[in-house]
Amino acid sequence: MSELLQVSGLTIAYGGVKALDGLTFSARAGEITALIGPNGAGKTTAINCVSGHTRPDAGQVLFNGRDILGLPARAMTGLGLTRTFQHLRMFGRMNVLENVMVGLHGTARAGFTAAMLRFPSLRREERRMAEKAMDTLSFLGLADLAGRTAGALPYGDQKRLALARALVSEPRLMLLDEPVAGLNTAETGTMGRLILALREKGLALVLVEHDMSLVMRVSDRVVVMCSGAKIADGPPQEVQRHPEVVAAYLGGGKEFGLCA
Amino acid sequence: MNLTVQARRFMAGLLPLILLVGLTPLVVTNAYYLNVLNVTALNVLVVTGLNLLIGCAGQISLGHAAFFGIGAYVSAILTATYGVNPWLALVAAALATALCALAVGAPTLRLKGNYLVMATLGFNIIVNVLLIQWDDLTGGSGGLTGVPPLVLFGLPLDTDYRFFWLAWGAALIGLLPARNLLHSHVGRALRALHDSPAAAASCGVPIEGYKIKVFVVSAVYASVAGSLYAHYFGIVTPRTFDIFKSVELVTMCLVGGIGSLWGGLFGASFLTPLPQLLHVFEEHQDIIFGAVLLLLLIFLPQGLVGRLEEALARRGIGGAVMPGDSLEERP
Repeated sequence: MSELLQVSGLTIAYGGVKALDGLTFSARAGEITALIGPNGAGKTTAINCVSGHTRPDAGQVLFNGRDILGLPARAMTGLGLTRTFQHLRMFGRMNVLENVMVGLHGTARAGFTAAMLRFPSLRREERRMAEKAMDTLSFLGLADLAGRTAGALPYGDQKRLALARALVSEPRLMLLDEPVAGLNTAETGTMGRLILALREKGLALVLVEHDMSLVMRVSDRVVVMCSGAKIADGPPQEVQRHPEVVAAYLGGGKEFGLCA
Repeated sequence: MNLTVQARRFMAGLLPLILLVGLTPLVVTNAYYLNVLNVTALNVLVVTGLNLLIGCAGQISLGHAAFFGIGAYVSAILTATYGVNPWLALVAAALATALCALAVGAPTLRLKGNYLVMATLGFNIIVNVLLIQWDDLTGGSGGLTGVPPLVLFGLPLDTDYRFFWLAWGAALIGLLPARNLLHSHVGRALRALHDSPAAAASCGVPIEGYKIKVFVVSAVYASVAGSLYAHYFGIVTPRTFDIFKSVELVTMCLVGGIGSLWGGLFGASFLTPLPQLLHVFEEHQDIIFGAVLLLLLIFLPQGLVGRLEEALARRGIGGAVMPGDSLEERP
């Protein structure tokens, strides 16, 4: 299978600190690629570079063979690349359905004038977006909450809502930044099943996650990062035995973040 | 709550309002009171636009009196000096104002942070100086007189009573595009970029472009109100459009409830007549006006309408009287 996302040589420095140091990895359709590593390894920075939120100093990001580095974040959803955020960033004052409908903004054709005069084309578009958003909410088991204010939902529901917002535009690649952080065991199990269901649909998923049992259970490939660089890359079983990973994660005299 | 329910609620709120406005001239026949009501309607129009900007994009403009003034002066100059058809002049004024708003907004709204406040503040001062100094065109500090009244279906709107219908018609009709915008993907995108620009961008929202557009739209609202103002009073003077007017407009948004179209309507309807009512206190009226504002902001920080909606929601009848049209959806 060909690589949907190819990231190579990503480098970015803040002051003298290299947040990313020549990071190279790739992700395939129908596979879950996990980015793991100690805090400060540069996982989120890597995702931000791919999603257009951060501009790296050097490197290349190919999505479906196209160089997308330098494109603004808002262009990504149109290409089929969406993401979730570690700190959710829900639109808290809107209701659940509206939050998901914002995820379809990239598909809207009507502009300000059509919206202010409520042209028939806009009404059709609104209906289409509402239906699509409801489908996605149903898929994620959130349909009952459609009318609730997003900011007032329990954390676990907000996590799934964040997933819905990224999923509704039918992306080919989703970047998930810590989808189970802060969830209890049951909620983590549900989220794991949802992520696997998305893989079944043929999506490429890039997962940044600290929950190792989840990572090892669902991932097809694990990329281990440390101090902005990749130290290992392979199937979960292989990576688990990799000496540098063992050293970085399990100690072996070294604390988190102190790996070479 | 789905979108059609929101739309129905809005209409349910609008109908009694139309009835109220329609019945008012039957009761209020005093020219002075009608005049206050007419000015109120024009303020409602400006505040509706301003509220889109403040409530949606989360940006504050201290220059809306300038846009109000550009609308008024372009209309006045074109009709009084050059004899252009007033309706045509109104459109020309709106276009001129849109260009000015674009020139102010495009560079500043690209920056992160509230630079718009400073830019619009400066813009208002510059416009005011121009209105005073460019006296060949504007008539200087004495203003420009001889602005003809608007004519609708052959009827000149030259009395307070006749203008009442146009002013309030415009104020109420002006609510509709604003409401439509709020309940569209554009409105959702605007609220989204206010909450989290990064997440909105990931959803495909062109953040800077939308902020600039909503700023231009809000300036056009002010411009149309300004044009109507010029034709109603027949005279325009620079002092009407100074920075204090801008502050007053923002205050109307705040007192009514930011981001709620009803809030803007009530804010303008409350604050416009208030100084007139306080005339009975003579030299103390400014102090009392300030005290009323202070008390309102201390005890009703969410605004008049915001407070009312909250109270209704607590009794489980949210939206029964006041449509839940606030941007801040409450559970």
